[in-house]
Amino acid sequence: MAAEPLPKDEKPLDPRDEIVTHLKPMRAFALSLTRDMSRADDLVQDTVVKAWTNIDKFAPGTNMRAWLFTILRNTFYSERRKARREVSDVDGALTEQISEKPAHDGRLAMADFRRAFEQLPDEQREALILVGAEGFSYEYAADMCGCAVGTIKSRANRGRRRLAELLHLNVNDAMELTDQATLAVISRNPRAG
Amino acid sequence: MAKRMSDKSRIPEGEQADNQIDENLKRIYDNIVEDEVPERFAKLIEQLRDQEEN
Repeated sequence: MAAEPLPKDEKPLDPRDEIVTHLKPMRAFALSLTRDMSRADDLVQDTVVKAWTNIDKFAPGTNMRAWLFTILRNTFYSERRKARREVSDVDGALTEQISEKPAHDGRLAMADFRRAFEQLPDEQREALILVGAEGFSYEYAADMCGCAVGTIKSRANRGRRRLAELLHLNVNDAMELTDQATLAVISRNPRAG
Repeated sequence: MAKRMSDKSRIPEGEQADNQIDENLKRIYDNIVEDEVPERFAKLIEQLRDQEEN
């Protein structure tokens, strides 16, 4: 079936045509890594060029977004290694870049949340975005990051713990959900690890 | 909706906070995903296609 010659005016389905449909999530993922929109766009551009020229390495029928994200994060980390001396001074960049939508139901102020998120190490932001926001399974995310499933889980959990700390989430939350007796148990509960 | 927490001897630490965190992550992420893709990417794809043909 694959060897069947196509009529001359009918081009075979080119997986490169699909790349463009993933640009928006790629930009969001890139921004979560770089914390700077113009750097994010440069990163997406490099990723698109690499994906385009290496399309033969893409296995048709597999998840193209995962493939593109893998190229993107590998590019990001290899550039980060090269530019290790560069001092990162992009605090608040994400906050400035994005126009905020009012979150009437959200109990957290989004600006505070973003600021806290930007303080996390790259690997923790990455794990949280892949699993928490983009919704990849831990197994998929581990595959994309070239690490063990446990590593991704641990990065995501450490990221969530840190965010909760920065945003003082645990205590408030416990107050809302539990009675005083349960709260006492929670507060005595020693932190694992 | 009643929260059934009192019958648990061990409450997953910060589970509710985790849910809140993931919700907020999704909201921020989706917000960025909705942004329009800059013009440069259409040009880039065009360039890549042109190179292919030559």
